[in-house]
Amino acid sequence: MFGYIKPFKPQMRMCEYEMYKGVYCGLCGQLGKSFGAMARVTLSYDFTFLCILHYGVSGQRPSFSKGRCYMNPLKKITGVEADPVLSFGADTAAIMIYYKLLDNMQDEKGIRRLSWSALRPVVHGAFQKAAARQPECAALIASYMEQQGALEQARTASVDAACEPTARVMAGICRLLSREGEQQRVLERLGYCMGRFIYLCDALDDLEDDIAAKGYNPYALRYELTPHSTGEERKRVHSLARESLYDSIAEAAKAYQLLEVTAFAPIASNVLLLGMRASVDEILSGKESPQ
Amino acid sequence: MTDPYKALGVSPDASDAEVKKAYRELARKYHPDSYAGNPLSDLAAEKMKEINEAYDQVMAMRRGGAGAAEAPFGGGSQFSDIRRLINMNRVTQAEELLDGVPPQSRDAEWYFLKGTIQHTRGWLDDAFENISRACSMNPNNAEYRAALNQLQWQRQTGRPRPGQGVNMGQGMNPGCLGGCSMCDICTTLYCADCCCECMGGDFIRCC
Repeated sequence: MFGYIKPFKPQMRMCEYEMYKGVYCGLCGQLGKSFGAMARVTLSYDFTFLCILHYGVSGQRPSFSKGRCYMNPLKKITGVEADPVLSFGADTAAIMIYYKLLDNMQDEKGIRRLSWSALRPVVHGAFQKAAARQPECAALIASYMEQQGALEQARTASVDAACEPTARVMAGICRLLSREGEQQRVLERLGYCMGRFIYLCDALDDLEDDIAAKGYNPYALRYELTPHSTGEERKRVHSLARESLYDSIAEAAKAYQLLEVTAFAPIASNVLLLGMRASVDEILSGKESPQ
Repeated sequence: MTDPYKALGVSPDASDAEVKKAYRELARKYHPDSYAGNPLSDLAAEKMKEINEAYDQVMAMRRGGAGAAEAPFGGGSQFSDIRRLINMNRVTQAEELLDGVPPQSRDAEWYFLKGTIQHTRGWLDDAFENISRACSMNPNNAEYRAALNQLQWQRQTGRPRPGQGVNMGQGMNPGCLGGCSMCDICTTLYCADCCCECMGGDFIRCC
């Protein structure tokens, strides 16, 4: 589900790339500090972007310090030191990942289900800590994840309806980044479009697996794809999905234009204008090459 | 009052042409057409107003002339009260009224408004379908056509607003994302010349 909202490196300046990496490493460190070393594996681009956005709108400045990478101690890195922004990012990540795990446990069968269940106690511990620190965020995510489950159970064929709960979750989380009324509205729209984007990317990425396993997938249901569908039919769905994702990106960019961003603006525009589009192209190029 | 130069993103010693260029770029970015069917349209309009005021002020300071104005989104139709609700961002109410219209009297305008509301909610796919439908039912309506063009542009490119390259935030250079610069033209001419010379001809005499 995670990792679609990332920067497009070839169009980044070195200093921007270093700063982005600094936040990425900082978030990794924060996950370790908040929930123990195991939690570091849940590090993702999406929550790094959430932190970037948070720094941008809140006016809080990150402080960088030199250290060594936890995963590869031979590598020297410059990361952001633990602060409230990173702590919020790590907590949200922990809560989201817990629900993602529950969802995976429901979707999978047999041995894979068992392996997800084995992870549960670890993730649940982190979830409880995070939920205690961010009760507002936890309540929000819980209510929409329930709706998401219900929609999938009912096998909704509307693509727009299917991504609504995830979009609402992201809208609610982004809203929490600012205390100022107008900015909150802008962040809500931006979050909605990003949440929609994440859900639809995930649906598109899993399309083949879901068709084969008869799992829930809004694209498969909406456009009636079966294991016997021809390459032509699949291509048509891919191009419709691309259009829908591009539109979500453009809408997110339009909301972003109205945001008062005081830091990391070039990085955020890179992600929104280039990185998200590159993610879509990457997913689709992976689909079209093997045939 | 904030510094009008800051609002336009230019320095006080910028030339008139530079001020005008900055103003045009910003005005295009926050144009009401770009934000039709967007829940943040009022904020965009506010931004637009700020820019207009700043531009007027700068121009007045420089020579005492008057500036430009903008035309808001609107228009008369049989669903004019629903339109007014949409403009006021009261989408839920507007949708209730719209859904109350019996299926046989749903015309192009109905589909357009339905699409606009869905777009505001973020239901982008259904919005696109309904606005396309409005456009095919009434192909002569410029407003429907403009909305559809805008959506099609976004769906094809993943970027806001048709026309010139978007310049959002600082430090992004859309110029390097495509198009043809002077350097490209010279290089192309040079290559063409070299190819001609290889084959015994000459494309550009002097080199």
